[in-house]
Amino acid sequence: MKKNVLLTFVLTLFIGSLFAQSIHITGTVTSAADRQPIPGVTVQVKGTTQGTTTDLDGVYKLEAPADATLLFSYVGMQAVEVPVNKRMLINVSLQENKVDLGEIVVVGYSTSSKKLISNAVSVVNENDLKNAPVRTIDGVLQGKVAGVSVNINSGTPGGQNSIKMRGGSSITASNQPLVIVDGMPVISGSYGQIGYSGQEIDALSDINPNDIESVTFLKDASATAIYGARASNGVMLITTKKGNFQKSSVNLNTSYGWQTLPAERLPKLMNAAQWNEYKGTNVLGVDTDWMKEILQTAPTSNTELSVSSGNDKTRMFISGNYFSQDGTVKSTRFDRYTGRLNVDHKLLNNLTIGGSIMMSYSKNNRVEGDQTLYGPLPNALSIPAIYPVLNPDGSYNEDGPYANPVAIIDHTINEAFTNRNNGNVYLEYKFLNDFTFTSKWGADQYLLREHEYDPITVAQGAKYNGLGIEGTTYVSNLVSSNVLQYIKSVEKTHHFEALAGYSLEKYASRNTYIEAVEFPNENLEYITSAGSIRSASAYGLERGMNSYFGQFKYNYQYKYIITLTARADGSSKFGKNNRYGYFPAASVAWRVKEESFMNSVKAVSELKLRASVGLTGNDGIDDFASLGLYGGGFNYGQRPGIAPTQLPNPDLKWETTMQTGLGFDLGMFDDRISLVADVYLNHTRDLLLKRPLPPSTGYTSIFSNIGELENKGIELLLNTQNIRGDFTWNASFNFSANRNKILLLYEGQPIDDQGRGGNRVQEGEPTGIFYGYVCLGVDPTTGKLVYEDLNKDGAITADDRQKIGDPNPDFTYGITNTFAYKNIDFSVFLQGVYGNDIFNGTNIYLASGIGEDNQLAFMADRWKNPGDITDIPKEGDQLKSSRFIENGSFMRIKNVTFGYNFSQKLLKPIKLKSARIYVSGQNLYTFTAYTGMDPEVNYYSNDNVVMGTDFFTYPQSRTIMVGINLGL
Amino acid sequence: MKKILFLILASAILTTSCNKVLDVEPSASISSDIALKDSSGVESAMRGAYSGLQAVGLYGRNAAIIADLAADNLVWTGTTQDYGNIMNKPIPAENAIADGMWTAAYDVINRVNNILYKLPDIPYGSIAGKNQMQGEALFIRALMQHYLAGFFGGVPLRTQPTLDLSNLELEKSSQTDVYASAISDLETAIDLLSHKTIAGRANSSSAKALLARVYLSQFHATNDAAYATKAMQMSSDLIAFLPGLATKYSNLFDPAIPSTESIFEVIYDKQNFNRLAQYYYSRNLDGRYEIAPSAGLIAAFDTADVRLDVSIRYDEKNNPYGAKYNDVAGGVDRVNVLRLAEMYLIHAEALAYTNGDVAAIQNDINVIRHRAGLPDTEAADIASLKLAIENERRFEFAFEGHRWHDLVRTGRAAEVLGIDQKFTLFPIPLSEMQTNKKMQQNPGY
Repeated sequence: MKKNVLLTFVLTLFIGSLFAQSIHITGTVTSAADRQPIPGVTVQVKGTTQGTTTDLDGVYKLEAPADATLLFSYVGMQAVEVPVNKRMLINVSLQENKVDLGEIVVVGYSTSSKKLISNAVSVVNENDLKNAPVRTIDGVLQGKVAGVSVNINSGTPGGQNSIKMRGGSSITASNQPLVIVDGMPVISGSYGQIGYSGQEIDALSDINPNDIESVTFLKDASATAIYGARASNGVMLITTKKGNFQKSSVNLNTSYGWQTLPAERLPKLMNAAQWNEYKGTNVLGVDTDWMKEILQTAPTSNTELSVSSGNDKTRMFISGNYFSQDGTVKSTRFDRYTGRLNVDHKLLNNLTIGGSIMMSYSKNNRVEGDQTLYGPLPNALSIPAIYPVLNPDGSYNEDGPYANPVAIIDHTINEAFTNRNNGNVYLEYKFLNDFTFTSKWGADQYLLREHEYDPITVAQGAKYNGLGIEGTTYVSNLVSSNVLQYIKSVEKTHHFEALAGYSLEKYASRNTYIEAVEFPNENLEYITSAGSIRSASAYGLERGMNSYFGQFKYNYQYKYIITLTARADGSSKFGKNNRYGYFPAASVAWRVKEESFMNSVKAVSELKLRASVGLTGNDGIDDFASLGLYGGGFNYGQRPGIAPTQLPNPDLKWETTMQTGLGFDLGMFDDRISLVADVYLNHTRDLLLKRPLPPSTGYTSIFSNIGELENKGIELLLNTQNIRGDFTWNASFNFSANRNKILLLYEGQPIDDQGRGGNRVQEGEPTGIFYGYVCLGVDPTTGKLVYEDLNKDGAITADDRQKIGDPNPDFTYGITNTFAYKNIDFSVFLQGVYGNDIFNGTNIYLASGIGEDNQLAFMADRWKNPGDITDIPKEGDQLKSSRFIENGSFMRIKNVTFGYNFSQKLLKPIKLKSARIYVSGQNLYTFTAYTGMDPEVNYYSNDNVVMGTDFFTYPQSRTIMVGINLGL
Repeated sequence: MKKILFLILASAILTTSCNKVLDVEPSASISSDIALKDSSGVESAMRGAYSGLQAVGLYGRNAAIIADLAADNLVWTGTTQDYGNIMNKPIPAENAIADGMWTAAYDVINRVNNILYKLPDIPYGSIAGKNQMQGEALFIRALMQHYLAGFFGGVPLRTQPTLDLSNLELEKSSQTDVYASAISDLETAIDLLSHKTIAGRANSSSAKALLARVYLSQFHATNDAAYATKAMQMSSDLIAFLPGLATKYSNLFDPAIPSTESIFEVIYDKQNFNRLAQYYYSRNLDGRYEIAPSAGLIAAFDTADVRLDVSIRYDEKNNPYGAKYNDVAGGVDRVNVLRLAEMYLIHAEALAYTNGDVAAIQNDINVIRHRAGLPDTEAADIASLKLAIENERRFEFAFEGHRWHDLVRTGRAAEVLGIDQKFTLFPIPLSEMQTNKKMQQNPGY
C-alpha cells in the first residue's frame, strides 16, 4: 500500500512536471447515508493508473490535470465520476451500492436481495426499534408488522408477551414463533417455577433491542419450511449488529422516563360513604384509596454505549447496556445489564472466522399477579375503603376480605435473577469460486434463580410463620449448523443458488425447587433458617433434534424466480414410529416490472407477483407425550410412591400445516408509494390436541393427532413518501385480518369452559370463543338476573349456554406518520385492534353485589325495591354470562416522538459526529369502549385458548421519556 | 494442504451428526411396562394410590367440606364461587369442585385397577404379602365407589385399568349395582387383609367398617332388610373387636395423640399436606375462611355438648369457625375416614329402620352421648329415635363429611334442606358428559 502511494506520488511529480496544467486537488469523501467520512476510498484519475486513497478522516490529496475526471470507488458503494473543471476542492458523497435489487435481508440460512424474494417476508430495521421505552424485543415490535400480532399481556416489567404470526395454528401445541438469533435457535418463553399466572417472565427479555440490526419475519411456508418442524407459527430471525470494516463509530444513547397508570383508566370504586350505604354499615373515619396506596409514578432509564469498528480484515461490534424499569405497582422493578461482542475476521482471502457473545444479567422484582389471594393489585381493587392501611398501633390492618396489599408491597420479597450467555463461533470458507461452506456452533445458556420470602408481617407469611421459596432453573441449548452453498450466474441471465445443510440441537434443562416454612425471624429470608421443608424437588429433562435441509433458488434475468425448499426433522419428542417429519415448500415470483412492456409505464417502479405453497410442522408439546408413563412423587407416609400419569400414544406425530399464499409488491412513482399485499390460507392437520378424555377413565386428557383448523387472512403494508424536500412526510400503514376456524375435533367434542371467561374450542368456530349464558337483564320484581332458557326446559342449566363472544379481532393495524423539517423530526404511531370481545372477569367480583369484595361505584344504583327497572342485579351470581362480555376494540396512541438533530456546524467544534435529543410518549391515550383497566391484557399469558380475559390484570403504563443519542 | 485440512474438518463436523441426540429417555417418569414388574413396584404404586386419596377432591379437602356445605352444617363465607354453588343449589354441571371430586375418585380407582390387573403375574415371596396388596386395592376401590355413588347416584363402574384408547366410554351402573360391587370387593378384602395396624393404611377392620357403611347405604337404597342385618352384624363385630371409643372426643382431632378409635384415616406430612385448616380457619387466624359453621348447626348443639367447643370456636372478632382441623401452616391434620363411633350409629340406624329393639338403639346412641358429656337420649319411639340418630350423627361427625349422605340416604334431604328431591344428586360433571357419549345426566340438570 505504502509502496503504491509512494509510486503514485513519484509518478504524479513526474507527470506533473511534464504537464504544467496539473493542479493539486483535495477533498473529503463521505457516505450519503450518514454523512460520515469514508476512509480507504480509491480515487483515480480516469484513463490513467494515477490515484490515491482517502485517509482515516476520508480526506484525499492528489494532483491531476485541470480537465481530468476523477473516479471515486469503494466496495459496496456506487462509483462516481467527477470532472475536475479546474476545481481544487472536490467533496464527494457516495451512495450505497444498491444496484436495483434493493436491500439485503437475512432469510433462513442465507441472505437475499429483497426484490428477489419470492415468499412472504417482513423486515423491521433498527430504525424502527429506536425510541420505544419498552426495551424488550417483543415490546418494540408491537404493531410494526402486518401479520404479526404482539399482545402485551400485562404491564409487568419484564413480563411475558404473546407473539402470533398469521393467527394461531394450533390448539394445544405452541403458537409462538421460532426465534432465531444470528442463525441459532434461542431459548424463549417462561421458565419460572413460582407461579405468577399471566405475569410470567420471558427469556426473550434478556436481549437488548439496541443490539439488533434487523428482525426478519418469515411468514409463509416457502420462507419457513427450511426450519421444518417448528415453523408452523412463523420464524423470527434476529440479526445483531456487526462492526464496520475500516470505519469506526461510537454511539452513546441514554434516556429517562416516567411511567404512570393512566388515571382515566382506573376503575371507579366505591368510597367509604358509598360502601356504608351499599352495605348498610356505618364505619366512620376511614376512607382508604387502596389503589393510591399501591401505585406510583415509576421511573425508567436506559443507557447504552456501543462501538463499531474495524480495519480491512477485522470488524467488531461491542455494546453495553443498562436498562431499568420500575413498575407502576410499587416494589416491582426490572433491571437488566447486557454486553455483546461480535467479531468477524478475514483469516485468509477465502476464509472468514468470527463469533459473537452476549452476556446478560437481569433482576426482576415481582409481585404476585392476578390469580392469587396475595397480589397487591387485585387486593387493592377488592378491599373496601372502610379498612385502614395501618392499625392505630402501627401494625398492618388485616381485617379486610383480602390480605393487606401495602404489607405485601413493603415486606414480601419476590425476585427473579437471570444470567444469560448466548454465543456462537463460525467459519466461512469459500472454494472453487462458487462454493461457500459455513459451519456455526452455538450455545445458549439460561440460568434463572427465583427467590421468594413472605415474612410473618404479611398475611401469606403469617399463615406459615414465614414462607420461603428458592428455585433454580438451568436451561441450555447447543446448536450446530453446517451449510454448503453454491451460487452461480451464467451469462447474467441464469442465476442459481443452492444450499444443503445439516443441523443438530441438544436441549437440556435442570430444575430445583425448595419451599420451606417456620422462619425464626422476619429478617432471616433464606431457607437455611427455616424450621421445616414443605416441598423439595429436582428435575431433569433432555431433548434432541436432528435436521437435514436444502434449498434451491433460480431466477432468470431477475425476472422469473423460483424457490424450492425442503427439510427433514427428527425429534425425540415423538414416538419411534413417527420420529422424522418431512417439510417441502415451493414459491414462484414474477417481477413484471422487468418486462419490456412495462418500460413505458413510468409510474410503476416495481411490480412483483408471488405465489407459495408448502408444508410446515409444529412440535411444541411436552416431551415424552407418546409414552405411557408412571410418575414419581406420589408419596404417602413419607415413603415414595408412583402413579400412572399418562396414557401411551405410540403413533403421535407432527402437527402439519399446509400453507398457501399469494401476494404482490407494488412500487409507484419511484417507490414513493409502495404496497405489499398478501393473502394466505393455512390449513393445519393432525392437530396435536390434548383432547379431553372421560375423567372416569382415570385420565383427563391425552395428546393425539386429531383435528383440523384453518387460518386465512389478508395483510397489507403501505409505505408512502407524501412530501419530499426540506419538509418530509412519510407514512406507513399495516393492516392484518385473520379468520381462524376449527374444522374438526375428535368426534366433534368441544373443549369447554377453559379459564375464567369460559373460552371454548368448538367445530365451526374460531378458537377460544366465549361460551356462556345470555343475560337478559334484571327481573324488576326479584332483582335477580334473568337468563335465556335456550332449550325452554324451564331451568337454566349448562345446556342453555351459547356463543356469547369472540376474543379474536376482526383486524389489527398500525399507522406511523413521520415528519421531518431540517433538524426536527416528529412521529406518531397508532396501533389498534378491532372487533374482538373481552370477558371482564374482574367484574364478577367488583360488580357482584355479594360478599365482602369492594364494588364499582355504579353498584350503588343496583336493584333495591320491587318495581325498580335497572340492569344491575341486587345480587349477582357467578354464571359466565353475556353480562361480562364487552367490546374490546381499541386504538392506542402507542408512541409520539419529537426529536431534534444538532447540525454538523455545532458538533464539529466539540468533535461529535451526531447528536440527537428527543421526547417520546408511549401509550399516551387509548380510545376504547372497554370499561376495564386495559383492553389489551390477558390474565392467562400465552395460552392458545384462554384469551381475551381480564382478571385483575396489571395494565400497561403511560410513559413519558426524554433521551439523547450521541455519535462520536 | 489447507484444502485437505478443511475437508477433514468439514467431514468431522458432518459426522458428528448422530441419531444419539434423538434417543432420550424420560428421567422423571418411568414407562408403564417397567413400573409394575415386582413386589416393590406394587408397593410403590400402592402408596401412589393412597396418595391419590390426599387429593383436594377427596380427603385433602373437599371430602371433609362438601357433604357439610351441601347440607346444613356449613355456609360459604369465602371467595371461591364454586363453593357458593355447592351451598346454593342447583349445582351447575360445570362446577369445578364437583368435577374435581369425580376426577380425583376415578384417578384413584384407575391406580388400584392397575395394581389389581398386574398383581396376579407378579412373583411374591409370601402369599400373605400379595393378599394384603389385593385387599388394600379392593378396599380403596370400594371406598371410592361408595364416595361417588353417595354424591352422584349411579356412576360408571370401573373395574379394569385404562391402558390404551379402547373402551374409554362406559355407561353408568345403577347406584345399587355400584354398592353391590363395593360390597363384593369388601367381602373379598376382609379375608385378604391382615389385622395389623399401619398408620394411614387399610387393614381388615377398615374393610369391615366400610362394609358396614356400604351395607347400610345398600339397605336404604334397596329396602332389603338383609343388608340392615349385615350392617348390624358387621358393626357389632367391630365394636366387640376394637378397643373402644377414645376417652376424650378432642383427642380424635389432635395429630399428636394416637387415635385409638380410628379405623381408617388418611395421613399427611409436611410435604404432602391437606388444606382443611386453611379453608376452615377465619382470616384473622390466617385462614381463608372459605366456609363457616352455619347458625343452624350452632343453635342445634346442646351447650353442654363437649363436641361443640371441639368443633366450633370463635376468633377475636367473634366469627365462628370450624376447629376440627387446626394446622393452618403445616396442614398435617389427621382426616378420619372411618372411626368406631360411626359403628355404633350404623348399628342404631340399621336397627331403627328395621323397627328393632328400642333399648338397643338407645344404648348405641347413649354410648356416643356419654362420651360427649350428655345424658341419655330422651327418644323412646322409633320415629324420634331415627331423628335422634340423625342429630347424633350431625354433632358427632360435623365437618367430617357425613351430613349430606345421612340426609340423602334416609330420604330426608329434600325435607330438611328444603330442596327439590331431584337435586339430592349432584350433576354428572360436564367434562364427563361431553366426552362420554354413553353417559346420562342426572334428572334436573
